[in-house]
Parts: sequence; structure tokens; C-alpha cells
Amino acid sequence: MSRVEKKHILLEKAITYKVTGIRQDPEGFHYNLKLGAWLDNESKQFYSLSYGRRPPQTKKEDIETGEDQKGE
Amino acid sequence: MEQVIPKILILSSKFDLSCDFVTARLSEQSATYLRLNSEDLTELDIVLDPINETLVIKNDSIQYLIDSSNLKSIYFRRPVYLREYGVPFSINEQHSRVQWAAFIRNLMLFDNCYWMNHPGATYVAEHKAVQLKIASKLGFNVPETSIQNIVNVESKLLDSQERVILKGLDTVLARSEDKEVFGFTHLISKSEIESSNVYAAPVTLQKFIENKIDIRVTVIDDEIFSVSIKKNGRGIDVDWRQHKENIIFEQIILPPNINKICLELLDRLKLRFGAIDLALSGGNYYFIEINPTGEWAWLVDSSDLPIDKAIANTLMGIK
Repeated sequence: MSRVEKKHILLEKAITYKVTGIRQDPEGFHYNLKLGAWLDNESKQFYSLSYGRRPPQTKKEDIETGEDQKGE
Repeated sequence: MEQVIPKILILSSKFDLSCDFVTARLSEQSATYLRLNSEDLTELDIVLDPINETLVIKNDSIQYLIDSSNLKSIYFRRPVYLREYGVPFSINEQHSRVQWAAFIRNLMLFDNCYWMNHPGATYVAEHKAVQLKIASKLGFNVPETSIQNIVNVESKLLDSQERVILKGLDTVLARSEDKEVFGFTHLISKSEIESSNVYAAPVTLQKFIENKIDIRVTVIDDEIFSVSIKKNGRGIDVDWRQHKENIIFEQIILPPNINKICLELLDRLKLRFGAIDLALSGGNYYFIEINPTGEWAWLVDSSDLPIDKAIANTLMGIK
């Protein structure tokens, strides 16, 4: 038996979740190339200043929604 | 056609929402900037002249002219190396991704401006063993650590502990078609680790720090923003990121000597931005790791820390 046939402990303990592979635009926002920012469809407010938007996530939480940057 | 001469270049992804916090601040201050997203590259007309140090980018209505004499700063939010993990890219996609990634890295030719962070510095600083060595030399308490692909041998760390921290040397992330696996940090018994198989990939084993309070220190140039991370008023064992509810990020002021070492660490790693994870236990501050590309926007919301403003001001050269 090869030394690497058994499943690695870090993979045994890892969480598994489904991914679509397609990134979704933030709902209710459109991207403005000139401003380099997502703007609210109605108020035209910047995403970061927009009331009621989804809060930004920590990197680990982002992974589960496919937003992690490290896998690029 | 409108012509713009940006003083700030942001290299990012369209889905990097932290950058939106910075561009909102830059816009408030009427700064001249360009956010160049990896998703938009193929839709733009781009010409880089490495000899004359110019970059011209055009879309339907605007021409951006970047040259080394006008460019003040670059905010680099792209990965320094590609982590491909099972995503089935076509030959065309592979080619495009590799060449554009190289293009972005080649913007290092703009070497007279301020970089946050320079990709070369990030590349070195991403490595945990390098971080731990430097942090220790600078005077941080560092948990006893061993990186190994064998566990059933005599080990100073394993011999002295009943339980140890187990984590990857890099992000534990793998994908297969429609599912992805991700690994947090684990507390594991000595017997479990000794009966496991780690030949296929090295693991990081660390002494378990009991009764700790996690601390996130975000450093921007010489500004420090620190929070403690608690649940129900108490520190969280092992990996706080597994807890989704009732987490409180509370602004704190670290002792001057700890702040000093944090700044020295960034200086030694040649970083202008760093997200440092510390653990406070028994009155001692332990260095866990530094993330040169760590996230921070969640702290603007949760703790009212003006990190976005600090980054924007630094990019504009305002102190």
C-alpha cells in the first residue's frame, strides 16, 4: 500500500459545501466602471454606504459563498 | 473622448467588495483613481509601454493615461500566485488567466510609487514559517510549532502535549466539480494525530493556547486598529471563524510594546498593510499569523473602525 492512499487528516476534517462556480452580482446593485464601485440600483449610493446591504464577510465566511480571493 | 490621468491605481476584482469601501472614500475626496478589475481586462483596450513607463487603458468613453511621473500609489488586491484547484478551465481560459496574471504582476515596473502591498513583499509574507521565525526574532511569543509530514516519530511537541492544534501550511481548499472542501483550524488529540496519515501533505502542528482571547490587529502603514473577538463575553477556543452568531469585535488598545512589534513586523516584511492574528492568554500576547491580503471591511461595519478611510488617505498621501 502506498504511503499516500489513506485520506489526509486535513481533508477528513474539512467541511464540504456545494459551489456553482458562477459569481453573483450583489443583489440590487450594478457596477459602475468609472467610479470603480457597485452602486445601489435605486439610490445610486455606493455599496459600502448603502443602507440594508449584505454586510462584508470575513474571508473564511466568504469561502462558503464563493467570494474568497485566494483561489483566483 | 474624456481623458483621465489617475494618481491611484487599484488592481482588484469586481467582486472584491472591500475595494468598494476604498473607492467610495476616494470618490468622496475627489481623488483621481482607476480600479482595474481582472474581469474587465478583456473588455478594455490596454497598451503597456515598459520603456516609457506608461499604461493606456481605453473603454468606449474614457481614456486613462497612467505614467510613472503622475502615479502616486498602487493598491494591489490580486493574488500573488495562482492557486488552481480542480476548476476545469479550457485551453483558452487557462491561457488568458496565466497571461493576464503575468500582465498584472508586470505592473511592478511602476517602481517609483507607493505600493500597498508590493506583490514581492506579499509573496514572501504569505509563508507561515517565515512569519513565525521573524515574529519570534522580533520578540513576540510564538506557540511552539512543527511542520511535518510524519507523526509517529519522537517529537518534542507531541511528547509534551496531550492535544495540539492542527492546520494546513496554506489554505486548505480543494474543489471537485460542484463541491468544495475547506479546512479550519482543529484541536486534535495526540493519539488521533499519531494514528493519522499526513504523508501526502505536510501539516502544521502547534501548541494549544488555552483560555485565549483572539485579537485582530489591522495595520495600515503606521496606523493600528485592534479588536478583541469574543462570544458571550468570553474568548473562543480554537477557530472563532466557525462561530457565526453572537461574535463581538470590540475595539481595544494594545500595550505600546505589542504595537511596536506589530509595526516592526510589517517593516521587516516590507508590508504597508497587514492583518495580524494574536492570542492573549495568561497576560501574554502570542503571535499566530499575519495575512498580507487579509480582509478588513467587516471591521468597518462591526466595530466602526475607519480602516477604509485610513487606506484611502494613505493611497492619496494624506497623513
